Amino acid sequence: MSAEILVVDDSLTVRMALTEILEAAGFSCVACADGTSARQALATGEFALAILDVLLPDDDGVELLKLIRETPRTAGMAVIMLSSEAEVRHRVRGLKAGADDYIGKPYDPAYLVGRARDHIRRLSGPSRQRSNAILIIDDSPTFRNALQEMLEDAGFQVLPAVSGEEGLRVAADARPAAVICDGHLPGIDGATVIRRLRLDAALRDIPCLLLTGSDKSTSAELQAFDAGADDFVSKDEDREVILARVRAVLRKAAEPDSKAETDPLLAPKRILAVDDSPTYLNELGEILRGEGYEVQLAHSGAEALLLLSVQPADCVLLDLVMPGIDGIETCRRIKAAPGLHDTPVMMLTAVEDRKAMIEALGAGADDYLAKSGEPDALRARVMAQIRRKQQQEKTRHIREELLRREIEAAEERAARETAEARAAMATELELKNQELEAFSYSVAHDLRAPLRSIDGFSLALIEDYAELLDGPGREFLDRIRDSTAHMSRLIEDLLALSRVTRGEFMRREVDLSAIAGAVVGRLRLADPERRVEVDIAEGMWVSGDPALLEVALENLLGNAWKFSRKTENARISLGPEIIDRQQVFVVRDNGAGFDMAQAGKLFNVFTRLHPSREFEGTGIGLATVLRVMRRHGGRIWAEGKVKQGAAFFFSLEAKP
Amino acid sequence: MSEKRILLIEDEASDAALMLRVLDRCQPPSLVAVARTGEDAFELLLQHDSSGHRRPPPDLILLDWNLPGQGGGAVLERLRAEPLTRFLPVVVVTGAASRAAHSDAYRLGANSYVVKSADALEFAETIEQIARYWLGINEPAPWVN
Repeated sequence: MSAEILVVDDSLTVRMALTEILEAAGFSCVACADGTSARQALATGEFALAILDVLLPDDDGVELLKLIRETPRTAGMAVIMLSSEAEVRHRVRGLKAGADDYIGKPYDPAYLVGRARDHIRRLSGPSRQRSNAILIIDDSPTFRNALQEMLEDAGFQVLPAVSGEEGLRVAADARPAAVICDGHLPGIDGATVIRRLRLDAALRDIPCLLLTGSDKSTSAELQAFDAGADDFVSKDEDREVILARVRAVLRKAAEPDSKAETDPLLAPKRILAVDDSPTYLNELGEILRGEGYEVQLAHSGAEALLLLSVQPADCVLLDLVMPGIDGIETCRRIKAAPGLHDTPVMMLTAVEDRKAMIEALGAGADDYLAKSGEPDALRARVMAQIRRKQQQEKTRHIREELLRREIEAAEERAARETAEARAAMATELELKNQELEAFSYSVAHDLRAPLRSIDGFSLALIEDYAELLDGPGREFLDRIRDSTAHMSRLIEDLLALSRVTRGEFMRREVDLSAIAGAVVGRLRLADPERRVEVDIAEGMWVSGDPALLEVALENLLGNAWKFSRKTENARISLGPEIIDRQQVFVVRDNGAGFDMAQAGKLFNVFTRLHPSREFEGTGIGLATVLRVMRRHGGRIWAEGKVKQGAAFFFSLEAKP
Repeated sequence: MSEKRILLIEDEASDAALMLRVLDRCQPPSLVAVARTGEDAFELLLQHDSSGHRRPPPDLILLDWNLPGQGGGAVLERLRAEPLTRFLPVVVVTGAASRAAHSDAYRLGANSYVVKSADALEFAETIEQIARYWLGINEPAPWVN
């Protein structure tokens, strides 16, 4: 994409020079010599940036700027004011009217191009990149989908691409916030994809994370960074680590100027010279411009402060004695302003004045210089001040960079530790499950053995010593046998409950109607005297685990069967219903029912709402059914009324 | 026909007593020897009496699967390895149903596999039926045709 730049300047030389350097930098230019043609160009063309001269033969650059800002179509474009006009008020006017930059003539071409590129990128790049979308280029659907899911869970939007070519197309169209690219791809490989992204002016700032294979060799690292990747990560890494890396490259990219081609540390330095004497001021300007500095001139302390409020400087040269706000006061105000206190201030005075010098230094000035001195001394000391500031900035930069890296490393470490802890927990849980399984098996076995003895010897007493037992003696033995039978059922039911919770889960298409039919068949066989009207809907196909569903229906239909025992014309039904736009199944009976106030307890283990002398049971069945439904991701709930039957509703899928 | 012999390998005294009680009433009557461990069982199976004759082999072995130590599996393996015992019918009895135990038992050469019921009547019935079936028909071990 080559952005269009509008150049407005009445000087043919400037127009030609600007057009030449901008086009050499890959931009296309429209050059206008006056305000009229500029307004025409603005009305018809699409520009990313305008470089405006302030003084035009028929117009005012600042007025053009205002027009740009007031017209919705152009309000967003970048504007650099370019002017030899040393007048402070122009500069302030320009910046206040919404200029993005103000560059004085004569200008440094490289600096101008750099600024132009920065402004264009700032407008075109990041604002659209804020889309939060992350492009994943990977030909493995498994990994791609896993990554996509993880990123979407983390709140990112994801654009998938299966090849480098597709990835580049998507990147150009959608301008993602970041690119995660597999190193090995069919067609062009990951490193090439990133290299091509880096060649595209519009895309080169997108942070790229290269996924490498399992080898953690340095060659992968070198290849990644050589191609221009911001970071690389092994596909084998834990997802948490990958996510942390993605966040890190996004954060790095979000830092202003972190990748600007015009390193602020290397860009021409802007010096603000303040003196009430125009002669000296111009002289000063001349010397400093000759050194390659960009120089702004201000004629009073007030002007200086105004200028600094709209555009910071790298160094301020301040005349000590000025009408209005004098040098000392100006210096004090500069040093007191939050954004400016780091700016080096050099105090200038006509004579070496010890008292004034101390006063100036007390006000925060960084240096003190006699106007009468050699220009060389001035140059050297300005350079020293600027270098000191530069050094400070660099140190701060390095410190911040180190801090950032430390934070990143800490985050990655934390992510890895979390993942490791999670893995350890999973292993432990697995072991615990195995332990539990062994435990319940041995409980079942070891509890049954004594039960068998109690029951066996009770039976032996009843059979072999019948003549020695009177009525109560025989009844006591029967009670012992009843209790062992109950305990035996409890053990069976607890085993079933634990199997339902831990056992394998295999989802397939299941005919619920057929399972229910078989269950009812067994109930009839075990209780042949009972006459129960059973109505089971045909063709209830569901997706679920057949063994678990059979356990659930055995309990639900078994309960309906049991609790309708004392009802004349007992009726049981199982059929589908739609409740809250969801498919549910309902088991109904017209039996003993229950008190709705107790409904909440129904599914707890060992909860029984009926005395065992009325209806036998262990209180484990419905807890088992609840777990079956939960393992399907479904739900179960019940409605009932005492002596008016019960209805159990269940669904095998989550609530929509 | 001579009296049938049963070797019961069972470490649980109570289970052994209950099984003996059932087997004692079975028809035809049988002579039941009880071994508490695998070692005891092999001593009984392989030893010679005072006259130097080996005892007649049992017609049926009832083997508890949950023996202490190496368990019933090791005993079964050895029963199938010893030339003298490899063709004897072995019925595995176990306290708890487990799919793994079930398949292990058949893999190692069990003729049948039954679960001891906690219900005394059911348990008695099971043992009685095993005895009647195996002593009446006395089928050879599964791999002898």
